[in-house]
Order: sequence, then structure tokens, then C-alpha cells
Amino acid sequence: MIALALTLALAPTPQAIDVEGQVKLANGRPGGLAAVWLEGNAKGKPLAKAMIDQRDRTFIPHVAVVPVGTRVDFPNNDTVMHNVFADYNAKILDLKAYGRGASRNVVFDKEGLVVLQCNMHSEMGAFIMVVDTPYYAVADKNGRFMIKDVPAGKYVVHGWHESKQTSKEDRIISAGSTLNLSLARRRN
Amino acid sequence: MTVQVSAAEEKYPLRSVDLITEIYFIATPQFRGLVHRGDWFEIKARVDDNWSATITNFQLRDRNLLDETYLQYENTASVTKAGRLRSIFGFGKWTDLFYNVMSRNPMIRSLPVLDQYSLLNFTSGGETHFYRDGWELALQVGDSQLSDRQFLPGRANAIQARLQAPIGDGQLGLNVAKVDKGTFGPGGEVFGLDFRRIAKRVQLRAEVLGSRGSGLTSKGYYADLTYRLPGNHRTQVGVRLEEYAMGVTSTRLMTAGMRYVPIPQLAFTLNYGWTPKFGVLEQKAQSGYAPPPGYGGTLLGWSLQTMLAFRFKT
Repeated sequence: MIALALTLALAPTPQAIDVEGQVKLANGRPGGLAAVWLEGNAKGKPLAKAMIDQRDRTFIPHVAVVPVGTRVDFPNNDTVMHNVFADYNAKILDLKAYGRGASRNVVFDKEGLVVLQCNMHSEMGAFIMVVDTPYYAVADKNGRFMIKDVPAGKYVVHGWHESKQTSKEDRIISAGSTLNLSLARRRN
Repeated sequence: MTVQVSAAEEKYPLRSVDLITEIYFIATPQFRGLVHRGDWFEIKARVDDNWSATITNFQLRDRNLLDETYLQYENTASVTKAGRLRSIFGFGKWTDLFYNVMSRNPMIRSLPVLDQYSLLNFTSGGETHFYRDGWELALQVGDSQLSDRQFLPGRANAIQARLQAPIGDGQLGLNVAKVDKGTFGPGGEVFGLDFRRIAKRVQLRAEVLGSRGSGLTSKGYYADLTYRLPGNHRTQVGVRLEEYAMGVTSTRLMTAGMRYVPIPQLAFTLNYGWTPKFGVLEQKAQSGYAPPPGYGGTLLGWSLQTMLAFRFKT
């Protein structure tokens, strides 16, 4: 019994790795603001606080990734009213019209893509990728990203870009791993 | 104010330069093919969370207008602007044309409401909006007798106030303006009441305006009802009922419209207008009255407007 306890206590824990990488689109250009997430055994916990702002007739940020169950606040900090809605995919919502100083919130309880729009300003658009994993990132404008503290192991690596290009592949994450994702348009 | 990003925990810079340009074409039975109606552009430079500067310009076929051009300071509870400003009444703006099923502003917002004073008049001066619990109080004061390119005020001759309150899922606005006597005429007061509700694909907005003074007064209203088609969020259909009266004559118009936005940079609006009453506009046309910019011969019959919008943001 003592030997077993000692064995368990001394067993190496999975190494936590900061995974870096770059997303490229089918034409070879960087996948700026692409969403990347690693699907493994661990499930994501809802964020304590998440927010998508509305300013200058723009949603900020343009792309966000949140774990399932996260409540996202949608404050209006613009000088005009907005009406956030999403008509299909992972969440259907309509926050109705509200002005500066007011806020609405929504719990995103299902995995998948949410396409946000404004009923009053057709050029406004943003994306929320709802994932069931704690390991995710949004790439910078050069397509580069980093996901911190990822335990070594086998994952399904997902990539998504607003140009409707995606990727999904099995990868083994180990120390020194670099994730370079090539996205492409897929029929499914 | 800090923007918390829900994914990468990055801080998105709020220092930016925004260029928006909108190009309008219109086809009506009077024109052959699409006619270039005008170009509008806006440059907005945001220095930080609080300070920004905006320059806008409207180039019509025969007229160049300096549009809203101002310095803005904002915090969570208020927004203050100084410069050349639009009316704070209601929600009718030039840029509204790009987002609306109707391809022109309502008559009561375009034609004179008191003497020669119209809500399309710009004001050079200052305005402050206070926000609290969904309520908004706005005050504007300045010079409303400006030339097309005038930026600085000559004198303060108009003051406007607006109170907006949440009523259920809608917003109700009360507006009042005091206009001094001057080149507009003897002066007086303008009153307005507006309501807007947007929810579940249906948008209702209505505004009633009237004036009081010893010169020419007018009154009128409009009500827009639009519906965003289920399964096709890019298409809206709608109707507008409006009336405008000055003196003993009045004009009542009905307009049915459809707006289709295939991509965010391109919008089409198809309108058909008809009227059971046609009074004051006809009389004004006979006396040499020129419809204000924005009409473009779109009052009656068919019109198809095509709008292009491009946005560049750093």
C-alpha cells in the first residue's frame, strides 16, 4: 500500500506547455483573428467575466472564443443605439434595441459558432466561437497565437477563420511543439 | 474604460482612424438608368477612450455640404460634442439612409418646420448627452443659420433639448427647440415626440412634429414599420405613412419599400410611393421651391437606390 502511494505521488504529472503557432489561409496569407482550440479530455470552465463592447459602430473584439457556459456582456458604449442579434448556428438571440450606458448579457451554453449582427447597422459583425475546452486562442493579425499551459498529449486541433476556412486535425502536443495550421474551405 | 476580451485576453487599442464612405445611385422613372445621387464620407480619429474628432462631408450632384464635424469627449455617463452638429431631434440622419428601407428622409424632417428652419439645418455650437439607466438627456445650443461650408458660429440663435426614456422594449423621445427671430423668420418653438421599438424582426419608429410662432408654422408625422424576413436576415420590407402640413395645405404619402443587403458593403432599396393628398409640395414646386437634398425625385412612383459603403479602420 505504501509503495503504491509513493508510486502515485512520485509519478510525473503531464508537462504544461505553452503552444505557439501560426494560422495560414489557403492563399498562403496569415489567418489574422483566426480561432484556434485544442479538443482533448479536459473540459472548459465558463469565464468569470467576458464582454463584447459596441463602439463606433463596431463590435470589440471582432472574434472571441469562450468556453461553454460563459456569460458574455454586451454593453453599448456607442453614441447610437444597437440591436445585437444572431439568427442561426450555436445561439439564436435578439437583445432588442438599447442605447449608451445600457448592457445585456447572454449565456452561451452550446458549442459552435455564433454570428453576431446589429439589426440597425448592417456593416456590424462579430463572431463568437463557443468551445468545450480550456485551451484556445485568437490569432493576432499575423495569424500568430499562443495557448498557455497545455498538458502534453493528444489533441484534435481546430482552426476557424471568418472567411469560412477551417481545419481539423489530430496532433500530439509535446515540449517544443509548434502548431502551424493551414486552413481551407471545406464543404462540411 | 477597459475592454475585456473574452478570448486571448488581449487589449484592443482604442486609438484608431476610421474612414467610411458611402456612394449613392438612384433610378426613378424620370431618369434613364442609375443616376449618381451623392457621396458621403466620414473620417473619425479616436485618440483614446475619451477623445475623438470627426469630419464628414456630403457631395451631392450640385451641392457640397460640410456634414457633422466636431470634437468629442465621452465618458461612461456623458458625451459632449463641439463643432458643426446635426439636430438632436429624433433619429433622422443622413447616414440613416444607408440603413433604412426608405431611400429618403421623411418630409417633416426635411422640409421647413418653422419659417425656413428645418431639422436638416446644422448647428455650430455644442451639445451634451447625459445617460443613466437607459434614459438620455441631450442639450444643444448654437448657430443654426449656417452656410453649406460654415463651421464657426456667428451667434447663438437656437437651443434644442431632448429627453429619451425607455418604455418597455421601446424608446420614447420628447424634443423641443427654441429658434430666435432672424433670417429664418419671426422665430418660435418646435416640438417633437418620437417612439422607436426594434425587436424580433419588427421595427417601428414614428415621430410627430409641430411648431408655434408668428410666422410660418408646420406640423407633420411619419411612421415606419419594417420587418426583417425570417431565414433571410439580409432582406427587410416596410411601409411608411407620412404627412406634412404647412398653412392650409398638406401632403400625405405612403411608401412601400424593400431593402436587400447582399454584402455589408452593398445595399439596395426599392421604393414605391403614392399619395391620396398632394398639396404643399406641388405649390412649392410651382413657386420655384427646390426640394431639399435627399429627395432626388423619389417621392412618387418607383425608385431603386443602390448604395455602396466602404470602411477602412486602422
